[in-house]
Amino acid sequence: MTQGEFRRNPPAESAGGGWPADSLARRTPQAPGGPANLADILERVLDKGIVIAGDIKINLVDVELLTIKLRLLVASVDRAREMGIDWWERDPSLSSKAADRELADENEKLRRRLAQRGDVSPAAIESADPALVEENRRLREMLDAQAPPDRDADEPGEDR
Amino acid sequence: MSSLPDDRPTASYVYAVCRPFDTATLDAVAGIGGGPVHTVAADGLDDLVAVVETVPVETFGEEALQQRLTDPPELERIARAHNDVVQTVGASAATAPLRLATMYHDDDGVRNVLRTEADRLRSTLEEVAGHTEWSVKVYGTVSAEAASRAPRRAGATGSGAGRAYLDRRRNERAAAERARAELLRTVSELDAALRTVADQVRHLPLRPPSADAGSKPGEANMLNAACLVADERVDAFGAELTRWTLPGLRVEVGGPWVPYSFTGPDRRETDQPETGGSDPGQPSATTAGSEAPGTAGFGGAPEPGRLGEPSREAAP
Repeated sequence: MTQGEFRRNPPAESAGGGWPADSLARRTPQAPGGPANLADILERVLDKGIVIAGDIKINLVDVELLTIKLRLLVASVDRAREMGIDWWERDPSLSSKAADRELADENEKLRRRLAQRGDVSPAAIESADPALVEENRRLREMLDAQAPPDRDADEPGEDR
Repeated sequence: MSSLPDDRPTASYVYAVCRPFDTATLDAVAGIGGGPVHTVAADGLDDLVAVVETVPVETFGEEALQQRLTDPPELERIARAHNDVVQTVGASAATAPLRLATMYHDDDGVRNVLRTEADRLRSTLEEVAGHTEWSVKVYGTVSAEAASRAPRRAGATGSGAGRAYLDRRRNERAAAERARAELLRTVSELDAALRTVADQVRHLPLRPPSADAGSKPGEANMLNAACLVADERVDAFGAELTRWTLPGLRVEVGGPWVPYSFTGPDRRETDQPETGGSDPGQPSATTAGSEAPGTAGFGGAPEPGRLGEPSREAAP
């Protein structure tokens, strides 16, 4: 088995979404060898259960690190943020490549508009910290929302 | 240290501690070493048994097992075998699973720990007897429809079109944020509702899509809960869950599990994971979720972890 297969473990029987919740009582404990989601299993056998010191010492921290590297298990959303995984905040509508292109186009237009306001040069924006640029954008949007500038101020050539 | 018939030295790998049960159910199960699984009881303790496999030290001793656990396919095989034994036992008796890779030199070591830990084991079994664990994962999707509910200025052409486009983008983003906030509110209501039908609810780490075989494109995992449910309330639990099939939310229920999440220490509820803060090999933002399937994802820019005070709550 390759590591790819390891990641793309088939979801649990229950994972398809079409579960008859009213018949949970008739479900039997997951059959041995069944297709239970591997991440669910690792989450439990590595993280949960009674901890009793054994005679033989196995260091599971290394194993947990491995699973994190494999992204089978990632800790809380806060940890995920620390790790730079921002899926939580990422707008799903921006996730496709098409949306990325659209956003890039918009950014380009915004850069030009900002430059024309004479506030920040495009070069400065290019080289600035993305977080600052983003904040700058949000602030400007908030400002715009409060006091919409004259529509006629829009320069020609910015049409889509 | 005992030995196999062929004189190889062995160790005792313990899967779980449970109340005595009909061990015939173990006949069909193979353990992590592929061998039979037996029970070990201690003299004078008639209410506790350990579920044990005799494994060769050569292949499952300290170094060998440590090595195996860092090999992904082998880790998967061992984790599944461990879980299979635990779930089989759990179907027959109140069961407290042990953390993966709890081993003793021999069955006498197991008997010894049954005696020394008897009180803790008994009270744990008392708590989980007559209960099962259910996994409830909630996935939210901010639909294109919700995001496009933003007002749109019609007929913008010429010099106003650029502005109109920017307005529309801004409104869409605001609408998507409102839709997401609305979903999160619903998820926290769902979480509260779970607590009315479950004895206990614990939040497990949320799953990024790249780590979740159960997630679908565009979805975010907003709740990953383990619920301890009394046997007689499983129907009520299921009925409660059916009330939460709402637009934009997908609820996935898994189980029954042996109550793994309710037998261990509570450290996960309040403490930083012990892996925190020192892992130099964390995946970077740019590779997260964007790799082709089949890449194991060991890449990523080294970035020192920061210790924070993470909230375990899925929804603010």
